Amino acid sequence: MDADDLVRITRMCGFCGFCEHVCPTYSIVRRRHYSPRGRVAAVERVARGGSTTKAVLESLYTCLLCHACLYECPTGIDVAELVRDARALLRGGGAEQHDAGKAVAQALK
Amino acid sequence: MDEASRRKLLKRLRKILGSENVLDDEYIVSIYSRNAAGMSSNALAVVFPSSVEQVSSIVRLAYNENISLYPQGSATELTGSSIPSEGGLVVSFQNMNRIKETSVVDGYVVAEPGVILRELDSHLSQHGYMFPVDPASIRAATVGGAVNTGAGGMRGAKYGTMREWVMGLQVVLPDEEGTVMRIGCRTAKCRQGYDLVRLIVGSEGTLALVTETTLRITPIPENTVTLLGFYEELEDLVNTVVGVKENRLSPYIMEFIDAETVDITIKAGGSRIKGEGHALIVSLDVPPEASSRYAGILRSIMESNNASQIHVAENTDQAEKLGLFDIRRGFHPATVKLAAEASRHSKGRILVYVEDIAVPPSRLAEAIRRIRRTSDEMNIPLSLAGHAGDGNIHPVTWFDTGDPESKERVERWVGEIMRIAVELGGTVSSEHGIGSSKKEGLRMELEAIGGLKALELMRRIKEIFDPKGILNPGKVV
Repeated sequence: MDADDLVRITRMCGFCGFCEHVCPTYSIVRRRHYSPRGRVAAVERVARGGSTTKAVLESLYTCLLCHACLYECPTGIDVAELVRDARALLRGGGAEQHDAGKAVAQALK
Repeated sequence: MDEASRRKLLKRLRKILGSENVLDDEYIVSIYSRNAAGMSSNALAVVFPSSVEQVSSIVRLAYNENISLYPQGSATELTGSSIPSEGGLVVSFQNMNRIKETSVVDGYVVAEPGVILRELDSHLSQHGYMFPVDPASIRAATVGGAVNTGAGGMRGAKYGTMREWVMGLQVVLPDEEGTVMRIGCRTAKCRQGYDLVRLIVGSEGTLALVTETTLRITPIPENTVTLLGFYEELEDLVNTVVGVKENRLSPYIMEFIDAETVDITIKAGGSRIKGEGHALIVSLDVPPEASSRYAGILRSIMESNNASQIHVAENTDQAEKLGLFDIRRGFHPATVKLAAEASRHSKGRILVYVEDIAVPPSRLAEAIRRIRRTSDEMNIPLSLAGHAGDGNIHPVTWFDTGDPESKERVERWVGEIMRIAVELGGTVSSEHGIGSSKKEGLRMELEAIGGLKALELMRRIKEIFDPKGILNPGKVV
């Protein structure tokens, strides 16, 4: 998906939070950027070309791509697919994977 | 606030909470400044206290520095009560998520505000008990959020709202000392002067920060009998509600979905049960030995009011297996799906808005008809369902944030829906609260019942609790 497609899909998120209880990372790290709805917001930021802060990378690169949240989302957003595409955008856009790796390592400390 | 002051404040907060619990990343702040109704704002930072002592320290600092504090659970609320403002701190209770004590004998559980309602219920189910307040957001909403909004749910007709289930609270007051105060009892009977517990329940975090709750619990019913029927005429559905009450039955759940919404939900694939017309689901908690008898009584009440296609489940498992709650549970996702389809051509974000009024159950048919007519006249897409047992109606619509005309039309519609509630002797907010979006509605309701003076008293109460006005300012009053 290109950036426009990503923005279109992320706009469907109602921020209801119904996705959170099945998310394996959110169940351990009770922070919204470790939850699917937080990740949708991170994807939207990347797709719109907004600032890619360390927390945005942490959010995107800690997703386990398990798709558990897909079955909880009222609008059927496949967050794992969005995250995968956002990561590809980041790579294409020149963001260093090295930095992303460091962000993850830092986050999991 | 200038940059130097901001840095200094964050440094002091980090000293109290540790740097991992004070986050000012703009992306993180943005996702803690947004709610499930699509309202959003900005804040200085998000702080995550882990203890009452830390909450008290935050309050002391905020009091001295005139910083506004915005308590927050999971931000699943729908009226703006969890939304901060620029320069304020979001106080997230996500770290305070322990269930500290459970006493089946004394009938209570002690839980911190960050415990998710579903987790609380799962914990209690190990003892054969439950916490009966079950908002649709139960999987995400927290105990603290439920206390602050005065949440309700499907079981509200039998069990009421949070107001009935909070026995005691530990709170931090927004004063110079960040005073920690315990109120309420661990006994079912409690006369402790003026009832401050129930004043704080539903106060939307404007009076005190809730740091611990003592909640009443109740046994899980041994069995439930559930019937679903469809009606051509709304009056017949409402007469069934009347019949249930006249037969001295106290439903565990009694939910309605209007005909057009039934249609939308079935077409969206959201229900295993197919049917046409307005749907009514009635569930009674009765012993297994009496199931058949009660199912028969309910069926005859439904039939005598012209219900067709009646589905019966004589136990709880069977109701789930047959999908008797599918239409009720599926109506909101079906509406969200419709809204999402509309978003393909939208200019901005499509937001689904859930209204929350109540009328006396005897006026339900009139209310539903007027809501439909008003929505049609205003060209507002509408789904309509609610809790027939207590007259709580949830008209649901959506709008395009990129289209000011669509947003303005929905705002006018909300005003009209609230007016209908007031004119029929109801209330503008049943279980979602006032927040920032229903303040005008609150005024309209109080004026209609001759209670405008109450607004002045509420403002004075707010001043007594929060002399500097640092706690969730701009909400409720």
